[in-house]
Amino acid sequence: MSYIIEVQRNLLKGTGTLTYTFGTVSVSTTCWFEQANPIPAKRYTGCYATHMNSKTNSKGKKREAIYLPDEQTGRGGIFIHMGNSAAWSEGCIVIKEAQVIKMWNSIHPKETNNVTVIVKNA
Amino acid sequence: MFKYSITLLSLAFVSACTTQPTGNTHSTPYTHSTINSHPALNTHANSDSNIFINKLLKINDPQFITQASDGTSTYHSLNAYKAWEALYIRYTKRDLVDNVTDGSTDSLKQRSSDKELTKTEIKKLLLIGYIAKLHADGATSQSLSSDLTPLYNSHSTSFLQVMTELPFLIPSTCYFLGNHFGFEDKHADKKTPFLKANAALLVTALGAEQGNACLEKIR
Repeated sequence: MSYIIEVQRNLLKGTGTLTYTFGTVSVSTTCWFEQANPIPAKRYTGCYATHMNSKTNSKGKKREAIYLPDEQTGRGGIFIHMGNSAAWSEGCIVIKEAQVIKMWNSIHPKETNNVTVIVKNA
Repeated sequence: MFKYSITLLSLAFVSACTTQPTGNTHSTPYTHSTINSHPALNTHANSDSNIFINKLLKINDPQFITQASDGTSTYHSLNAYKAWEALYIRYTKRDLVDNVTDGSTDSLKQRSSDKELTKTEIKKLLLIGYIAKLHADGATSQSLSSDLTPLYNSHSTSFLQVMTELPFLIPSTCYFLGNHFGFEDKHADKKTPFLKANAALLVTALGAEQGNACLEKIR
């Protein structure tokens, strides 16, 4: 099973829209990113639904996230994870926690390279 | 290139701090038992050094490469990232408790402040910050933006000693100290008191040029 997340960015505003559909689960939400140093716009294959072990969610547990492989971003530790503004990002793509959870819960199995993230610029 | 040379020299120094005896290495002949107990054989320390070097130089660690029967190899970058993340957790002294017996699947807790960071641990933590900034590592930068300033506040003397001894760590460290204020929409109001309490200390410890450059990054 392959899961596809699309991110349409406006580089001038530092915001965009993340969309995801799988079965009855549908997410279309505002996303934020670090405007000064965004990851390249491209298709990232073999991404993973996982946890960030050094960051917590609103319940104090390990933060749910989608990992984009370092060798494709050309950087390190780039995730899609929870956040309320660009102030939550140092290069990652952030969306509201409830939307991350909704998307993350629908991806099975976890820790598997079964997610594709397509990043486009408007 | 110069930056890399400095870093590698420093890395070798940090590595030596953990893998070499601290006394006169020639005073005691190596026997079978002393060789076995030699800190250089400490796989934990060696493993840390490998993770640092692989991350710094963007080397794919062979332990995370699998080979299929048709000869094609796959690099498992998530596993490599988790090894790096575990290193970070070790040097920030955060405990990860998985499969705890209270029925919850996982929990994350900060170790109590009585677990002091040693100067060597601070060196390694700041080296993690240097590498994270160098390679624009998103998650590590975010973790450091949350964690480094509270750690500095409780270990400021040791932090300043390390920054004085290893000046190449100053820019990244100061970036993360400053990025704490406002990161994740928290602590913005604590920047002014932090600067008030630390401006003179930083300039005195690091010298006028480096100290003021550090303050600029924090501001």
